[in-house]
Amino acid sequence: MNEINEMYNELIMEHSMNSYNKRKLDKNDFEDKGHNPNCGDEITLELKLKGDIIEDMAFSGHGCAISQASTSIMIDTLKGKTLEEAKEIVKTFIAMIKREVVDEEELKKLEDAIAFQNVSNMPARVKCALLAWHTFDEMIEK
Amino acid sequence: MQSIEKEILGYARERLSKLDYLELYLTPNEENHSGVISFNIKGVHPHDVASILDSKGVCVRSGNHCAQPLMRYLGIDSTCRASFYFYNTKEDIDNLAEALEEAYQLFKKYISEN
Repeated sequence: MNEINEMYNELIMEHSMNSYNKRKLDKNDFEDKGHNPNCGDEITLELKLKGDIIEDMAFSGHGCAISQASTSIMIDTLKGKTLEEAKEIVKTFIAMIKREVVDEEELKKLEDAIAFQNVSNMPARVKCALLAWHTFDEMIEK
Repeated sequence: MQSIEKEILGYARERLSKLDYLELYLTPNEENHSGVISFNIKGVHPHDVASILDSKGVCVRSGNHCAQPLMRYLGIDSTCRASFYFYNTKEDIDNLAEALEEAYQLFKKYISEN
Protein backbone atom coordinates (compact mmCIF):
# COMPACT_ATOMS: atom_id res chain seq x y z
CA MET A 1 0.00 0.00 0.00
CA ASN A 2 2.95 2.23 0.64
CA GLU A 3 3.98 1.71 -2.94
CA ILE A 4 1.04 3.76 -4.16
CA ASN A 5 2.04 6.68 -1.97
CA GLU A 6 5.57 6.33 -3.28
CA MET A 7 4.24 6.50 -6.82
CA TYR A 8 1.96 9.47 -6.21
CA ASN A 9 4.60 11.40 -4.33
CA GLU A 10 5.04 15.17 -4.26
CA LEU A 11 7.36 15.26 -7.26
CA ILE A 12 4.94 13.36 -9.50
CA MET A 13 1.92 15.31 -8.25
CA GLU A 14 3.58 18.68 -8.81
CA HIS A 15 4.64 17.73 -12.31
CA SER A 16 1.28 16.32 -13.24
CA MET A 17 -0.99 18.99 -11.80
CA ASN A 18 1.13 22.11 -11.95
CA SER A 19 3.80 21.68 -14.55
CA TYR A 20 5.79 24.68 -15.71
CA ASN A 21 6.66 22.60 -18.78
CA LYS A 22 3.07 22.69 -19.92
CA ARG A 23 3.16 25.65 -22.28
CA LYS A 24 3.59 26.62 -25.91
CA LEU A 25 6.97 27.46 -27.39
CA ASP A 26 7.18 30.65 -29.47
CA LYS A 27 9.02 28.80 -32.18
CA ASN A 28 9.84 25.16 -32.45
CA ASP A 29 12.00 23.00 -34.68
CA PHE A 30 10.04 19.82 -34.13
CA GLU A 31 6.59 18.96 -33.00
CA ASP A 32 4.87 15.61 -32.62
CA LYS A 33 1.78 14.10 -31.06
CA GLY A 34 1.52 11.03 -28.88
CA HIS A 35 -1.67 9.20 -28.05
CA ASN A 36 -2.81 6.21 -25.96
CA PRO A 37 -6.11 5.22 -27.56
CA ASN A 38 -7.07 2.87 -24.71
CA CYS A 39 -7.46 5.56 -22.14
CA GLY A 40 -7.25 8.89 -23.91
CA ASP A 41 -3.82 10.10 -22.77
CA GLU A 42 -2.75 12.68 -25.34
CA ILE A 43 0.35 14.86 -25.57
CA THR A 44 1.93 17.22 -28.05
CA LEU A 45 5.68 17.66 -27.68
CA GLU A 46 7.56 20.70 -28.96
CA LEU A 47 11.32 20.80 -29.34
CA LYS A 48 13.73 23.65 -30.00
CA LEU A 49 17.34 22.89 -30.86
CA LYS A 50 20.49 24.98 -30.79
CA GLY A 51 22.86 23.06 -33.00
CA ASP A 52 22.44 19.56 -31.66
CA ILE A 53 21.62 20.65 -28.12
CA ILE A 54 18.07 20.61 -26.81
CA GLU A 55 17.56 24.25 -26.02
CA ASP A 56 13.93 24.06 -24.98
CA MET A 57 11.07 21.56 -24.83
CA ALA A 58 7.46 21.89 -23.81
CA PHE A 59 4.25 19.93 -23.95
CA SER A 60 0.52 20.28 -24.00
CA GLY A 61 -2.27 17.75 -23.70
CA HIS A 62 -4.24 15.88 -21.12
CA GLY A 63 -4.23 12.52 -19.44
CA CYS A 64 -3.53 10.68 -16.24
CA ALA A 65 -1.14 11.96 -13.62
CA ILE A 66 1.52 9.39 -14.54
CA SER A 67 1.57 10.31 -18.23
CA GLN A 68 1.59 14.06 -17.56
CA ALA A 69 4.26 13.84 -14.87
CA SER A 70 6.38 11.55 -17.01
CA THR A 71 6.25 14.04 -19.88
CA SER A 72 7.17 16.97 -17.66
CA ILE A 73 10.00 15.14 -15.91
CA MET A 74 11.32 13.87 -19.25
CA ILE A 75 11.53 17.48 -20.45
CA ASP A 76 13.47 18.51 -17.35
CA THR A 77 15.84 15.60 -17.79
CA LEU A 78 16.50 16.08 -21.51
CA LYS A 79 16.77 19.87 -21.62
CA GLY A 80 20.35 20.99 -22.18
CA LYS A 81 21.49 17.58 -23.42
CA THR A 82 22.69 16.78 -26.92
CA LEU A 83 20.42 14.70 -29.11
CA GLU A 84 22.79 11.75 -28.74
CA GLU A 85 22.75 12.00 -24.94
CA ALA A 86 18.98 12.35 -25.01
CA LYS A 87 18.58 9.22 -27.10
CA GLU A 88 20.68 7.27 -24.59
CA ILE A 89 18.62 8.57 -21.68
CA VAL A 90 15.37 7.64 -23.39
CA LYS A 91 16.70 4.16 -24.15
CA THR A 92 17.72 3.66 -20.51
CA PHE A 93 14.37 4.92 -19.22
CA ILE A 94 12.42 2.52 -21.41
CA ALA A 95 14.72 -0.30 -20.32
CA MET A 96 14.19 0.63 -16.66
CA ILE A 97 10.42 0.46 -17.03
CA LYS A 98 10.74 -2.90 -18.75
CA ARG A 99 13.04 -4.02 -15.92
CA GLU A 100 15.82 -4.69 -18.39
CA VAL A 101 18.11 -2.30 -16.49
CA VAL A 102 18.23 -2.25 -12.71
CA ASP A 103 21.82 -1.18 -12.10
CA GLU A 104 21.80 2.01 -10.03
CA GLU A 105 24.93 3.42 -11.63
CA GLU A 106 23.37 3.18 -15.07
CA LEU A 107 20.10 4.65 -13.87
CA LYS A 108 21.80 7.76 -12.45
CA LYS A 109 21.73 9.44 -15.85
CA LEU A 110 17.92 9.47 -15.62
CA GLU A 111 18.11 12.08 -12.83
CA ASP A 112 14.57 12.74 -11.53
CA ALA A 113 13.05 10.30 -14.00
CA ILE A 114 14.24 7.50 -11.77
CA ALA A 115 11.09 8.30 -9.76
CA PHE A 116 9.20 6.12 -12.25
CA GLN A 117 11.11 2.97 -11.41
CA ASN A 118 8.07 1.68 -9.50
CA VAL A 119 6.04 1.63 -12.69
CA SER A 120 7.96 -1.49 -13.64
CA ASN A 121 5.78 -3.16 -10.97
CA MET A 122 2.54 -1.70 -12.33
CA PRO A 123 1.97 -3.15 -15.80
CA ALA A 124 -1.27 -1.23 -16.29
CA ARG A 125 0.60 2.09 -16.05
CA VAL A 126 3.56 1.26 -18.29
CA LYS A 127 1.98 2.79 -21.38
CA CYS A 128 1.20 5.96 -19.43
CA ALA A 129 4.76 6.40 -18.23
CA LEU A 130 6.28 5.63 -21.64
CA LEU A 131 4.02 7.76 -23.84
CA ALA A 132 6.20 10.89 -23.81
CA TRP A 133 9.46 8.98 -24.26
CA HIS A 134 8.18 7.01 -27.26
CA THR A 135 6.80 10.23 -28.73
CA PHE A 136 10.21 11.90 -28.31
CA ASP A 137 11.92 8.96 -30.02
CA GLU A 138 9.52 9.10 -32.96
CA MET A 139 9.84 12.86 -33.19
CA ILE A 140 13.59 12.84 -33.62
CA GLU A 141 13.52 9.82 -35.94
CA LYS A 142 11.60 11.92 -38.46
CA MET B 1 -29.77 -12.98 -9.05
CA GLN B 2 -31.54 -9.94 -10.38
CA SER B 3 -32.77 -8.94 -6.97
CA ILE B 4 -29.29 -9.26 -5.42
CA GLU B 5 -27.83 -7.11 -8.17
CA LYS B 6 -30.61 -4.60 -7.75
CA GLU B 7 -30.11 -4.39 -4.00
CA ILE B 8 -26.35 -3.91 -4.27
CA LEU B 9 -26.78 -1.37 -7.04
CA GLY B 10 -29.35 0.56 -5.01
CA TYR B 11 -27.01 0.67 -2.02
CA ALA B 12 -24.12 1.74 -4.24
CA ARG B 13 -26.18 4.54 -5.78
CA GLU B 14 -27.17 5.72 -2.34
CA ARG B 15 -23.68 5.58 -0.89
CA LEU B 16 -21.84 7.09 -3.84
CA SER B 17 -24.28 9.91 -4.49
CA LYS B 18 -23.40 11.27 -1.03
CA LEU B 19 -19.79 11.89 -2.17
CA ASP B 20 -19.95 15.33 -3.69
CA TYR B 21 -16.55 15.06 -5.35
CA LEU B 22 -17.85 12.24 -7.54
CA GLU B 23 -19.44 12.65 -10.93
CA LEU B 24 -21.83 9.72 -11.36
CA TYR B 25 -23.00 8.69 -14.81
CA LEU B 26 -26.39 7.11 -14.21
CA THR B 27 -29.72 6.75 -15.91
CA PRO B 28 -32.50 8.35 -13.88
CA ASN B 29 -34.64 5.21 -14.25
CA GLU B 30 -33.48 2.80 -11.57
CA GLU B 31 -35.39 -0.08 -13.13
CA ASN B 32 -33.45 0.22 -16.34
CA HIS B 33 -29.94 -0.16 -14.95
CA SER B 34 -27.65 -3.17 -14.98
CA GLY B 35 -25.16 -3.87 -12.20
CA VAL B 36 -22.54 -1.32 -13.18
CA ILE B 37 -21.82 2.22 -12.07
CA SER B 38 -19.61 4.60 -13.99
CA PHE B 39 -18.09 7.55 -12.21
CA ASN B 40 -15.19 9.95 -11.98
CA ILE B 41 -13.58 11.87 -9.15
CA LYS B 42 -13.86 15.43 -10.44
CA GLY B 43 -10.48 16.68 -11.60
CA VAL B 44 -8.70 13.33 -11.35
CA HIS B 45 -8.01 11.00 -14.24
CA PRO B 46 -9.83 7.65 -13.86
CA HIS B 47 -6.61 5.77 -14.51
CA ASP B 48 -5.11 7.26 -11.37
CA VAL B 49 -8.25 6.62 -9.33
CA ALA B 50 -8.24 3.00 -10.47
CA SER B 51 -4.58 2.55 -9.49
CA ILE B 52 -5.18 3.91 -6.02
CA LEU B 53 -8.36 1.85 -5.54
CA ASP B 54 -6.43 -1.19 -6.69
CA SER B 55 -3.77 -0.62 -4.01
CA LYS B 56 -6.57 -0.71 -1.44
CA GLY B 57 -8.01 -3.98 -2.74
CA VAL B 58 -10.88 -2.46 -4.72
CA CYS B 59 -11.01 -3.41 -8.39
CA VAL B 60 -12.58 -1.14 -10.96
CA ARG B 61 -12.02 -0.75 -14.66
CA SER B 62 -10.98 2.54 -16.15
CA GLY B 63 -10.88 3.83 -19.68
CA ASN B 64 -13.47 4.26 -22.37
CA HIS B 65 -14.92 0.75 -21.95
CA CYS B 66 -15.16 0.43 -25.75
CA ALA B 67 -17.90 3.05 -25.66
CA GLN B 68 -16.20 5.94 -27.42
CA PRO B 69 -19.42 7.38 -28.94
CA LEU B 70 -21.00 7.56 -25.50
CA MET B 71 -17.88 9.21 -24.10
CA ARG B 72 -18.02 11.78 -26.89
CA TYR B 73 -21.68 12.42 -26.12
CA LEU B 74 -20.88 12.92 -22.43
CA GLY B 75 -17.97 15.17 -23.36
CA ILE B 76 -15.38 13.16 -21.46
CA ASP B 77 -12.44 10.86 -22.24
CA SER B 78 -12.84 8.05 -19.81
CA THR B 79 -14.46 6.90 -16.57
CA CYS B 80 -14.07 4.42 -13.77
CA ARG B 81 -16.55 1.60 -13.73
CA ALA B 82 -17.49 -0.62 -10.81
CA SER B 83 -19.34 -3.81 -11.69
CA PHE B 84 -21.34 -5.84 -9.21
CA TYR B 85 -22.39 -9.45 -9.25
CA PHE B 86 -24.06 -11.83 -6.85
CA TYR B 87 -20.86 -12.32 -4.88
CA ASN B 88 -20.56 -8.64 -3.99
CA THR B 89 -21.84 -7.37 -0.67
CA LYS B 90 -22.71 -4.05 0.91
CA GLU B 91 -19.35 -4.26 2.65
CA ASP B 92 -17.69 -4.17 -0.76
CA ILE B 93 -19.55 -0.94 -1.50
CA ASP B 94 -18.41 0.50 1.83
CA ASN B 95 -14.84 -0.42 0.93
CA LEU B 96 -15.26 1.28 -2.44
CA ALA B 97 -16.55 4.46 -0.79
CA GLU B 98 -13.70 4.49 1.74
CA ALA B 99 -11.08 3.90 -0.94
CA LEU B 100 -12.57 6.71 -3.04
CA GLU B 101 -12.33 9.02 -0.04
CA GLU B 102 -8.65 8.16 0.37
CA ALA B 103 -8.00 8.72 -3.33
CA TYR B 104 -9.76 12.07 -3.17
CA GLN B 105 -7.73 13.14 -0.11
CA LEU B 106 -4.51 12.32 -1.96
CA PHE B 107 -5.38 14.57 -4.88
CA LYS B 108 -7.44 17.17 -3.05
CA LYS B 109 -4.89 19.90 -2.59
CA TYR B 110 -3.80 19.71 -6.21
CA ILE B 111 -7.30 19.74 -7.69
CA SER B 112 -8.16 23.14 -6.23
CA GLU B 113 -4.99 24.64 -7.66
CA ASN B 114 -6.02 23.78 -11.20
